[in-house]
Amino acid sequence: MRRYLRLAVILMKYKMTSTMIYSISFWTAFFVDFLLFAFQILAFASIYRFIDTINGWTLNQMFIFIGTFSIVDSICMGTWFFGILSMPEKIRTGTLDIMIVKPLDTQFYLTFNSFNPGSLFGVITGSLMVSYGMINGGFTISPQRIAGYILLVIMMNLIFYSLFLLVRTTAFIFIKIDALTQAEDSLTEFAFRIPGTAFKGISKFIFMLFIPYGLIATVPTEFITNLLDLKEWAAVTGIVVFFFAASRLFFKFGLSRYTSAGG
Amino acid sequence: MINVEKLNRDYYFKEKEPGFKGALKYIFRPKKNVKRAVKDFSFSIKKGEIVGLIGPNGAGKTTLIKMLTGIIPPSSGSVQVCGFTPADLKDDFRKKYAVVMGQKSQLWWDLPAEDSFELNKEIYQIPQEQFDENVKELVAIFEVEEFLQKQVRQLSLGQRMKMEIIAALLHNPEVIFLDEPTIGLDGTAQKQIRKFLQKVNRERNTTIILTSHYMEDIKILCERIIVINEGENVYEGTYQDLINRVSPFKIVEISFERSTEITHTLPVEYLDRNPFKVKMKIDKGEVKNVIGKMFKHYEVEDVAIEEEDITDVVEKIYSSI
Amino acid sequence: MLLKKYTAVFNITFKESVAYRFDTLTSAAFSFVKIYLAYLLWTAIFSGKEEIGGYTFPMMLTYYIIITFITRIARSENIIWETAEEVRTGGYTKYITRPIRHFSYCLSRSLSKGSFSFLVDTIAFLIWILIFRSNFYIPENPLNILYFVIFALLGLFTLMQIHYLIALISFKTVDIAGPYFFFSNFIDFMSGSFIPLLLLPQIVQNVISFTPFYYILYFPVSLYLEKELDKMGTALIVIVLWNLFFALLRVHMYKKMIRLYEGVGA
Repeated sequence: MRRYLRLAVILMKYKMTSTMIYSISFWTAFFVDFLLFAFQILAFASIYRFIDTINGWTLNQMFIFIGTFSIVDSICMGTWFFGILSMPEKIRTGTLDIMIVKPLDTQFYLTFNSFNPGSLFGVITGSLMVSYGMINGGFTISPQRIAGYILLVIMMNLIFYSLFLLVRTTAFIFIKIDALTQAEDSLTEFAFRIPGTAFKGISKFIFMLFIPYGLIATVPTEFITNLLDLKEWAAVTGIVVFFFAASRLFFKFGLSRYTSAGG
Repeated sequence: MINVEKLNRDYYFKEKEPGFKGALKYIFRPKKNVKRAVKDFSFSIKKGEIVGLIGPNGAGKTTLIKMLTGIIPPSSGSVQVCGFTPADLKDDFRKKYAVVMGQKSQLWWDLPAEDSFELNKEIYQIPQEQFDENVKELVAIFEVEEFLQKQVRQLSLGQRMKMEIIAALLHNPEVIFLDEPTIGLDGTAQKQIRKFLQKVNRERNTTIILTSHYMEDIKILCERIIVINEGENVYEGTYQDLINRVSPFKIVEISFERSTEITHTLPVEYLDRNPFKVKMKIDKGEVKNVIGKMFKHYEVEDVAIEEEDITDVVEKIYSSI
Repeated sequence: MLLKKYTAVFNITFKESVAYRFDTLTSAAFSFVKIYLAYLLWTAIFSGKEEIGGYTFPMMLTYYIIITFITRIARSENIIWETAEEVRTGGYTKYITRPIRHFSYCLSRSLSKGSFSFLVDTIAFLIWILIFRSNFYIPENPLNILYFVIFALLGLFTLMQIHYLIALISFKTVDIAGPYFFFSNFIDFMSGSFIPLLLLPQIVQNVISFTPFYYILYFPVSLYLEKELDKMGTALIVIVLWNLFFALLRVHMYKKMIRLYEGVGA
């Protein structure tokens, strides 16, 4: 266990040095995230000039929502995102071989192979936004809420990771999964950017349980403003555990089906 | 050390017929085809051996190596390497071997090679002392000290291959698999690598399994070769035995001091014939006789004896065996 | 003579698109998801309200449907990636050594891909309209549809010029991904892809109306929704001026950038 922790740090250190060589990447990652973040705020602030709530959420809760999304997204892009993103390509070209022969869990290696520090600035801007929303909206700020919030942010990262991994593990079987990643794109582009309160009925089932992208920024926001009851905590934890376990099992299955292309 | 018994590996693929109807069929009722890349393959390799694996492209060499390293599991049959089942991919197993693939680099492209070495140290949990010693020794042998801090992407192919091999040996593996290690390298680099592999084998008793299309590599390094063709083990033995089997000839070129006409009937095939020089293809057993006769009856200026052209030999190996 | 050359490019690109039709079909199918999610969001926003910022719910939904449709026929974004790849691998040389002008080549290609997408996506488009028919806005004056089409085409051409200019950055840097994502999101927002520009504060709207982005998506769709009709004259002038500027900038930048090209292979 300790070995893996140490390895995670080292892999990240090397990738970090590697990306720093491309200074444009480093800074533009920051600018792009910031830009998106600013646009979202401008968009929703404009909408709220005409309305008071979106199915119960006020503008301040929207700010917290946008900030939360920024935090979760930044953490994911800064840590595992690009590593898992590269998986289908590595499978297709057979370059995954190089990772498989190392005495290291392959999923772990893929996950931590792409530390991207530029993305982590979003955590700062996101946190500022969340703080603003909390203060402006007069929500209680307590150590318990903050701790619970951080825990949920980590859990939501795990869900996103699991969903992302599940999609890309199919590359072991189908090799070319462009259609599937396109489907994923269409879903994620919006699904976790619109407030969870917009999902009702069947859409709630789909986006909060079946393919729970809708939970990702919503749950921490709900918690930090309204708290979650025990049932909700249980449901969320169950979903996280389920998808994480499923993605791990599926990955191991996929790996056993690896055919290793390219000579 | 390595035991392979009746190994089989099948690849399944769907065949797509052209046209729109074909596309529909492909989605709903695809025609499944099976290709058996490795057929009933068996062999053993003892610790410390250097074995060459040769065969035409697509014969199954790389598939075999992938099964030995655990990258892909066999469809049936058994394979044991260093006492492990490769497909289990146990960490302890993976620490015992190293794989160098000519086409797939394990070095981080944008960083200097020494950073990749450091990373391997951590991944393989190599003790610092051993690591430092190995790096020093290997770098010295390959004379690549000055390139250690250059980004890998800036290195020439030869320099890069040397770094790859160094990186592979840092953890003192018991077995090294080399897939086309000298491909694209100049003569000097090839020689260096060969010498180096022999040294490693001598000093550390490292088992080496090597595939190559360069017969020089095979001839110089390998005590034993295994020929694979269409997935089957078609020959196992020494290089010389193989050569003798497929190419029992030598090419002898004799030049004369003055215009000569050969009046004797000799058991040779004339490849080229003019009054000053003859090029003959002679059965190995007859070479001594023929040359003796030539010296006895004619004024020989110079004699050159060669093996049959290497590419011809290789072609023969792959096709006629 | 000149036209023949570029018609050939058009045709071969079309054939290429046909070869990849499966991809186009699937992405057309998935763009439905965007519209569905916009539907969910705006239903929530509109709950209880008749109109927001001058838009009724049908108008808002129609806005997103049409925006999605136009975004799908706008295929000039590929220019950026293709150019970057060709500069990186040295394949760009073929534009220098052959009697073909890169910009005109890109134009033909974009037109061709756009035409193919138009054919494929119209089917999807009609299906969406069918699904949301009770909420789909049809203009009272059919002439406005014509104005919409004209300005939409102008908008697409303007967008293509912008994409081309961004593509020229490839000569300066290997990593085009950064600038691409930056501009891509910037243009998306400024052109009204996120939310209709009419909802933004007046000052912001005014500023954006001086930029070409205002006229790529937002303005044409507004005409369809029978808004901003009085601004057509000014719009035309602004569009023409911006395109002239882009053309001049393009020629100037191209001369500078091409000198940086080394023609190195991978």
